[in-house]
Amino acid sequence: MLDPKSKFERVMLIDDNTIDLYITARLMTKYNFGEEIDQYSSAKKALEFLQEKQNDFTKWPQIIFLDIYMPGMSGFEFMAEYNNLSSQLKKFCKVYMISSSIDENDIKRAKNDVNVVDFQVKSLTKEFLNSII
Amino acid sequence: MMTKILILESATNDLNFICFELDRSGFNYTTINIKLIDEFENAVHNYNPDIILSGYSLMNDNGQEVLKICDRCYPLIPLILIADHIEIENCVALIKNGVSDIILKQNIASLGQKISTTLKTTRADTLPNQCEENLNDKSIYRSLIENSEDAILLTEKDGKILEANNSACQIFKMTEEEFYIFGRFSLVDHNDPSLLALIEERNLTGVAKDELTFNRKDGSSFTGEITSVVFKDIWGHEMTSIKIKDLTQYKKAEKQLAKTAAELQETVNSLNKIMNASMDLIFSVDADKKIVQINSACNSTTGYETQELVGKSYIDFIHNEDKEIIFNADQNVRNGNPIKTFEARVIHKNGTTIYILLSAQWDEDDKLIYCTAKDITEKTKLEKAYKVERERFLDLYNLAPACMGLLKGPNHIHELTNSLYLKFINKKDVIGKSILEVMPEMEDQGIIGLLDSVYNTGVPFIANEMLIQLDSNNNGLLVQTYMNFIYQAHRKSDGKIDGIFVFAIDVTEQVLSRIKIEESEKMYRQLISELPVAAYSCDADGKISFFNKAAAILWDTEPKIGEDSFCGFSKMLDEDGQTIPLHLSPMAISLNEGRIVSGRSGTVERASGERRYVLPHVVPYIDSSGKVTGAVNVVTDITEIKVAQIALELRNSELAFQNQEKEKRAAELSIANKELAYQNKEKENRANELVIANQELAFQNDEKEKRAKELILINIELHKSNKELDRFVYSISHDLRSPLTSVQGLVSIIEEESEEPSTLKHVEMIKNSINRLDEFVKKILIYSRNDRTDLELEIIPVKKTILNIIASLQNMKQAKDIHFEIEVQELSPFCTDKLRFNTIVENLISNAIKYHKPRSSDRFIKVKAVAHKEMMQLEIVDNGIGIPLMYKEKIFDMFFRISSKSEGSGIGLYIVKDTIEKLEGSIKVISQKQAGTTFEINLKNYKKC
Repeated sequence: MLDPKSKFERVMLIDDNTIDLYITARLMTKYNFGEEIDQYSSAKKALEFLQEKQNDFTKWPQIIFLDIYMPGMSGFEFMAEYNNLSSQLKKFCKVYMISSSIDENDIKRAKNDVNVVDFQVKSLTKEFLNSII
Repeated sequence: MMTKILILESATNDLNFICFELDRSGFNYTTINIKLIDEFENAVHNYNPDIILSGYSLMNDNGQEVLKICDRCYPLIPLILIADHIEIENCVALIKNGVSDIILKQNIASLGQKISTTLKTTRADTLPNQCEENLNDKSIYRSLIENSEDAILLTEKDGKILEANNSACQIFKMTEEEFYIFGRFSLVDHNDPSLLALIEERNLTGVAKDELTFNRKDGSSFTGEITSVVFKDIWGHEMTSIKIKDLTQYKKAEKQLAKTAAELQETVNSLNKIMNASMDLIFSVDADKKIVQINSACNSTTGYETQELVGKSYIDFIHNEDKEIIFNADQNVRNGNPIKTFEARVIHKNGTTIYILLSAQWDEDDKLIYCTAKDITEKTKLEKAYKVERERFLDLYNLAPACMGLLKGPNHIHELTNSLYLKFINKKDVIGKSILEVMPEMEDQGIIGLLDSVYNTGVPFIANEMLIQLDSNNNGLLVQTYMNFIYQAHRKSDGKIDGIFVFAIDVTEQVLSRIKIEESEKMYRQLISELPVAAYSCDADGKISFFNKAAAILWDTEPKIGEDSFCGFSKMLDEDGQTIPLHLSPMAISLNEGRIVSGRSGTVERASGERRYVLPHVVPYIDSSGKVTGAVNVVTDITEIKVAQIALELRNSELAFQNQEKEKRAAELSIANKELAYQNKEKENRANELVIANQELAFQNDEKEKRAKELILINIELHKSNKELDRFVYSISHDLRSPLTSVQGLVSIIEEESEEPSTLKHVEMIKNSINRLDEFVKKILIYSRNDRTDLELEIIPVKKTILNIIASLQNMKQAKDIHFEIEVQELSPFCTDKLRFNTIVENLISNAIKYHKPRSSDRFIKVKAVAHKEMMQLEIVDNGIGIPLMYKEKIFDMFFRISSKSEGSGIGLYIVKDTIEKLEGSIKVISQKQAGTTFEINLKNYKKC
């Protein structure tokens, strides 16, 4: 049942809730979703990492899971900065916004962002992970 | 001896003259005087005078009569004639007829002596002596002849000259002797054609008279009048007496006269021409005030023909009011006081009045008043017009409610000011002084510059409500004055500017009062604007003309001033929930009917879609003519009060219900009490206890009422913070959901990793609980969102939407074996808020699934929808467990659950109702226990999108 090889080499998780980080990472590990899972509880730190590694594509995550409501920098604020990154990086990374919010405005806003692939309401399920190819 | 003298003389002067001469010669006499011939005979008879003296002038007509009387009756009474002048022939004839003597008046001194002689002669007539008589006669002749101015020649008939008098010598420039020598033929011009006729006549009648040409000794000739009489002397010789009157001077005079007459006529003619050429009236009036003569100007001026004027009384042509003055003037002129420049009015033939200027003079010789007159009608009219114009101007100038003045020259010297001007600047004697001399305070106020500019350019200066400072109290303190000014250049006849007209009106009071009004209006506006109550006003057409902050807050929008009408709410509803059109709004009614509209509260919808309960109070403005010019509306927001009221009513009815329940129980207890009373005392005691318990319950009831009241108060407070609560609920829900998802995640991991059956069972229970909690939180969020967010309208595919919802709900475990029937008619595109529509349908269908009968064949849920142009009818029918009648009213209440066993949170139907109201719809429930439930929903079709 377990695939020896993970689906993605590098995955980035951004969520201020460390329990959620733990759950997501565990799910990913369990279902071989990602080889390396970078966990950030601060969107600002995650952004700094991406800015630093703009020219080092080996460090670029293929998948980013981004929470919306976070102290300091929110998910939407992160996406505004993310848009300024190099287009190659943006092409490379698939950003999913993951939130416990069921607010229509949040969902709409997330889905309307050109750099966001999809919005997913918490909690994450293996079905969702399996849907990402 | 006394001599009686009878004097026949009519002229008193001559009589006195005679008497004087008689007295002077010392005559002893008595006398009587007869003036008329008729008395003569009687006088002679009665008086028997010694001598009669008679004036020769009386003899001319009646001489023969006197002589006849004397000759017939008293031939012995001598008669002496006294004459101024007498012809020789007459003398001779008179003396022949018995006159005693003739005395010329120039020889009156000889009167006494002549009377004496005559009386002597008469008394000595007893012996008349022919010779003596002849002698006497001769001496008389001689004296007459010698005294005559005419040439008198005595000749033999057709023979030599016997005698020539002195006058003859002078006329012919010859001596007596030369007459005798040359004879009479040399005297006459024999070529004169009249000569023969004269001689012929004399030979025929003895007397002839004619004009002949005579020759003088020196050869010159002259025209003379010749009288030739043939008589016989005492010896019987035929003699001729010739009298020649030198007519040279007479002829000359006659010629002169003729010439003079011609000249006179000429003069008169030219005078007439001049008179007729005169523009002035010239006329004469006689003693009877009749017009005698007029010139042509009289005709043209009065319009009357000559015959209509001449011979008429001039008074008839005078204006009635002037007749008396004219009469007095006339008298005055006749007394010798000529008048000049006398004004009078004359009536023209056509009835109009003509003004003339008269001068008149009385001529004593002609007994006429000569008048000249000038027609001054035009002049008088002009004068009158000028006078009227001048008075008008003066009135205008002095009574004008404006300061007026004329400034002359480049230094603006006052030349003319009206009284208001002086009053306004409060100065005297300004004429001749410059503006700066009179008002030095003007120097710094730019007025002089303005005047200079008008004076130099001619462009008038006009200013309204210009502020000037004037030392009008003459104490150096400047008074602020607002003036309307006009400075206008005054031009000479050649167009050059020589001064400035100043017109000024003091408008200080108007300006100050206007400023006051503006200030008070500003204050009033500020007051209204800051008023914590919504207030706005509309004009007569209903256009909003003003609104305050509170109004904008209440409306949640700011209407456009002058464009939007009647009200700032997006919608008004009556008690039945029907929309009130704008033209029936309280503001419109007040404007239309001109009355105060107040006391009826209503439901309104703000721009945001939120509903409020308001109490309008509209007061129309009505002007003095009774016309509505606008209205002001004070709108009180009574939403909180209304909500409190509704809550109160709800609580009241709940309490009433509880009361009823308790009463019932009490009644049951009472019955039980009675039954027990029959059993035993213990039971009586218990009954008593129960009564006490009952009382206790009543007391508790009171307590509950008190608490209800407290709850009402809390309710009001709660409502006040409703908004905050909404936000609070929203963020709490989020914060609740976030750990819930974490728990869900963890539970999933446990579920995945554990194979312990009891653990899995527990995990399943945890999951159910969490799902219920999550469901509840989601619903709270939906409810909160419904209140928070505006409608997002779009056309939705009704059937597809319903099918999607049913599809998602069929995963519910209770949905198994339920038959769904969908019947949708989309007669018109249906426009609504999609999410809210989903909420309604999803909740109702999931309820229908949840509360269906657990075990039954033929379970069904029917969904019928008909979308019309205006609305959509939606019906959700099931044959489930139904709702007990007593709960029918309560199912839409928040957190109401029929049984504690049910899974629901008690918020689903509340959200449905709340959302339907938001979508301007209605919901009705028909249900029968164990038979099923039908929800009938009407939703508005927004159709605008």
